[in-house]
Amino acid sequence: MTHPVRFHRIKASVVAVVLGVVMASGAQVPSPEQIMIQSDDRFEGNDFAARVKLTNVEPDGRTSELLLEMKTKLREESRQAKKHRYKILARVLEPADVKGLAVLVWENVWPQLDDIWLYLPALKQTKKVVPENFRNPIFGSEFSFEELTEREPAKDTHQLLKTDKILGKDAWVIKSISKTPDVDGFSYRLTWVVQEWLMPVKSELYDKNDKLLKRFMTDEAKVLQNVPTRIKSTAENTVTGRKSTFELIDPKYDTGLSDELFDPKNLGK
Amino acid sequence: MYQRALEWIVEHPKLVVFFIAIITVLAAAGLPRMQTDTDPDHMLSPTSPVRLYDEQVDRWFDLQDQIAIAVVSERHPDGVLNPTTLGKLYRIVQRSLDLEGVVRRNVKSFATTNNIISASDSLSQERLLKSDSPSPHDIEKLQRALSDNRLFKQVLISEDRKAAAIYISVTDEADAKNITDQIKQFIQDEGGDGADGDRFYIGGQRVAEDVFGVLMFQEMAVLSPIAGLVIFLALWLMFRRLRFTYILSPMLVAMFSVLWTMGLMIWLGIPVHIMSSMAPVFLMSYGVVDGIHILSEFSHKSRRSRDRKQAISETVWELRRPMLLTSLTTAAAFTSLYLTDIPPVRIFGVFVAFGILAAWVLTVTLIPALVMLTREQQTAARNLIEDSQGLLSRWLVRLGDFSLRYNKAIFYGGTAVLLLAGLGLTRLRINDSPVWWFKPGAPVRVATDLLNERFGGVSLLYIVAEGQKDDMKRPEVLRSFERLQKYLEADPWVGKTLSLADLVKRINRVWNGDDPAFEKIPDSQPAVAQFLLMYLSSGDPSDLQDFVDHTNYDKANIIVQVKNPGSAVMEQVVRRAREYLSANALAGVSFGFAGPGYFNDQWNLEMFQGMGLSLLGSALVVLILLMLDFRSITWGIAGIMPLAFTILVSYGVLAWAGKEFNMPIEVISALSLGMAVDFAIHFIDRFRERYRRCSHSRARLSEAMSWTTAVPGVAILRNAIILLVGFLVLLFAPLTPYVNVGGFIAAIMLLSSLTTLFFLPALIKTFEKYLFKEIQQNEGVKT
Repeated sequence: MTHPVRFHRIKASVVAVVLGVVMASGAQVPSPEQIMIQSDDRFEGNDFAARVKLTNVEPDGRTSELLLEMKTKLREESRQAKKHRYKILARVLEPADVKGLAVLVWENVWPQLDDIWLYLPALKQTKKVVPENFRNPIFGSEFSFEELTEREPAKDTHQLLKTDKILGKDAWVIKSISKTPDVDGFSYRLTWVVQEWLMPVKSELYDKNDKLLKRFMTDEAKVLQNVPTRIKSTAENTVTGRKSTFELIDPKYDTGLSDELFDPKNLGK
Repeated sequence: MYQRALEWIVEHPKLVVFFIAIITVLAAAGLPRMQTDTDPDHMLSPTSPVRLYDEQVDRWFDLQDQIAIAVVSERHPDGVLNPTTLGKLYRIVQRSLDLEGVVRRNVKSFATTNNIISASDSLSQERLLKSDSPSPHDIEKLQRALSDNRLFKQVLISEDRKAAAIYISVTDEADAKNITDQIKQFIQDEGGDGADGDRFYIGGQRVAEDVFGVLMFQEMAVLSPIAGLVIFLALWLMFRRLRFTYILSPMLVAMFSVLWTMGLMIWLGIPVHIMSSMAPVFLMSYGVVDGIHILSEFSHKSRRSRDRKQAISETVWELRRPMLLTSLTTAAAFTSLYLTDIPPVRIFGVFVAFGILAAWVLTVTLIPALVMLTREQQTAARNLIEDSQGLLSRWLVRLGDFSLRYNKAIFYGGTAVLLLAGLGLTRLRINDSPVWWFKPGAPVRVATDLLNERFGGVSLLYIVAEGQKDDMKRPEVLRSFERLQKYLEADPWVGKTLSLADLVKRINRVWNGDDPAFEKIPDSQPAVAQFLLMYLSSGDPSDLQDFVDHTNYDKANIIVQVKNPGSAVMEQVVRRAREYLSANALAGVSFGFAGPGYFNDQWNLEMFQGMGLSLLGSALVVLILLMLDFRSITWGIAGIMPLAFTILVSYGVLAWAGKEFNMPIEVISALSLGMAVDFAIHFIDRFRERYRRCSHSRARLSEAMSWTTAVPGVAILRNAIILLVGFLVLLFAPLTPYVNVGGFIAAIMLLSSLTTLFFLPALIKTFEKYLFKEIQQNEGVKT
């Protein structure tokens, strides 16, 4: 799995290498599994920092907002294997009564589950969290953990449905059928992966009766410091009509973040 | 003009029948387009504050009606916590999630609900039941998760662990009957109810409502024709000397009035509600009333005259006033239902009133026309020799004599009964539930009783707190919920209450290594806020949404489960809650009430008050109509006495017997009012007419009375008997509202006819001086 920001960017060079391999092997389209795995494993800078505005819009129009501070750092041990994994820290800035609440994620290579810690400032305590699956919403939004970090490809079987144009770019449309629909709460997923960036920019979740349950869209993406980055995305629950937007403010790559920041012992500092 | 119209009808019977046939065919053509509406929310008008608030609360907290399913495993030593039963439960829930109309995110069961588990320094979140083949380890974990957890106990699992519950949330539009049928099929696929000692029960208010909605039309389709047949047989027995067509004619009037009314309703695009589904029964019975008067009088006249045209013209002419007046007063009584605030009752009232007027039109046109189209009565000669003092007449004359002789005693006795009954009315109590629309032993009723017994209760009340943004995170607010819940749970009918306070306490405990000492509200708002944000990220957010608006945290919902589906118990729970809240007000936070159980209570209350008002209103209208028609205040009052007597005594007896009221029983008051006044009008109108004719006689009163009881009195009694047997058919219905209607109307028929034939003569005799003053004065002027 990759971290939440990583799906916002990818180094053009990596894409070039991947595509070069693809071309060399007879201009064949990579298999849908390969596309999903390479997208999941892609390199997204050594570190990253931004603020995030997470807005929920209820079906009746009421809104609530959460302002977060987000930092990520590449796990050095994953650099060699080209299966890039990150440490991700999200800390609440607003509203005041939850200020300082922090979530720390250490991504791991499947089948090892990610390590997650939670820090509650009111109790000044950190706990390790072992979620059963990653369908849980992030801070009560319509984005689930899995939608932000990209779902582990091994959980599905993949088919290449077609190619499509999205955000002005060519994209593969991949149908991923869940191996555990009871646990996931959906039957299959369609993902639009931009070929140039090897980055998913849209996905749709369906139940077994082909009813659309959820739609996840990139509203704005741009290449920052050579990394394609999703600036703004929207998740919509098409059953309830509830929506959430995830918007980056001042995103910066490679600012030289220290490893100390990502130590669970330091979450209260 | 009336006479000219009557002549035209008698001269052109074929044309009359032709026109009526065309209208009837047009009306009947609409029947296949019939739409039905069984949504109980529609019992209150769309602008009613109770309904608006209820809908608002449903949106705030994403609440839906639920189909409650209990799985009971009595035989297994571990109760339901055994691999076989759990496997079935898992598969049934998974299959139910995909059904049309099921709100997947709000289905609560072992197979869909998550639990937060705490280890020494970590938290994990797990589905209570993860597969349909749980290992002993999984079951042990489930058992641990369920034990000592207030959020699950008596909600998902019974105290003795012999029963587990599944709550399937369904949309407003969903067909709960159809969903229930499919779930039954899933149970069948698992070996059926009873396999491996596992019993399944499907219940709750919503299931009752939707199953009732389907059954009521089936019942109407079966029972209406049977009632019709019984009425026809009774008619035939009474008038068997008349030609078949004559006997058939009142039946045709009734059937056509039903078709016209239902046809009009359907063509106007109005869906048929539970209330209007009863309209055919009412019209079927009322429709024959005037026809019976005509047949009675006609058979009496045709014995003396061989000219059928003259006999029928005279009959209709003589009966014109009472028939029109009775139709108007009964129509007015039903129209008065428009005074209630219950839309289905208003529609019912207006359309039954229309049907009654249609029946009047049909009576004065179709019956004479059919009589004219029938070949001359060959048996007239036999009729001539028929004893005009039939058994029934003789008996009634004797009854009338008795009433006149002991008039004082009867009057005082009657007045005493009236007062006693009136006193009983103060004891009236309304109590109803859609679940009770089924007889004891009906599956939905058995299931609901079982769910109420084993779990917290399936009748739901929502107590909604409203304050400013973030108020619901304040520890003192949560503690006030806690105290209110404790107070409410002291009531044995309240099986369970759950609120945000319970959830916060649970999270606090889990965060602190599952230490029961931490099952309390934290002391600071940030701690509550952080627990809740954490829960939103790691728990089951749909659980949180049941209890609080997590956009602004300005509203919270306290769910109160009541173990009795009736409105009376709910009323009592709400009263206690209101009392508590007014004595323990919390600054800045106000409380409101909603929920399916509360809604049921409210519309029943609304109905009860509305019916009281409408009854008074219609009694007043009837009184005015009577005074105008009789051109006498005293006769108007006399005319309304049988009505007052019938209604007060019938409802008084019910009240004294401790019988609780419900909608069908209340709506019958309009019919009984109409019927009682009908009998009185026919009696008084014909009596006064006779009294005038008997001016030569010294025993003027008793002579007029003898005739009235012998001729119109027989018609009245015949009417009462025919309707009585017709309605008794409903006693065999499997749905209690119809049984109640049938039994109660039968009793009212007896009471109102006997009041008219027995109490009214005594009353007239007692107040002879006042009543006949005008008649005597008029006569004095003439001479």
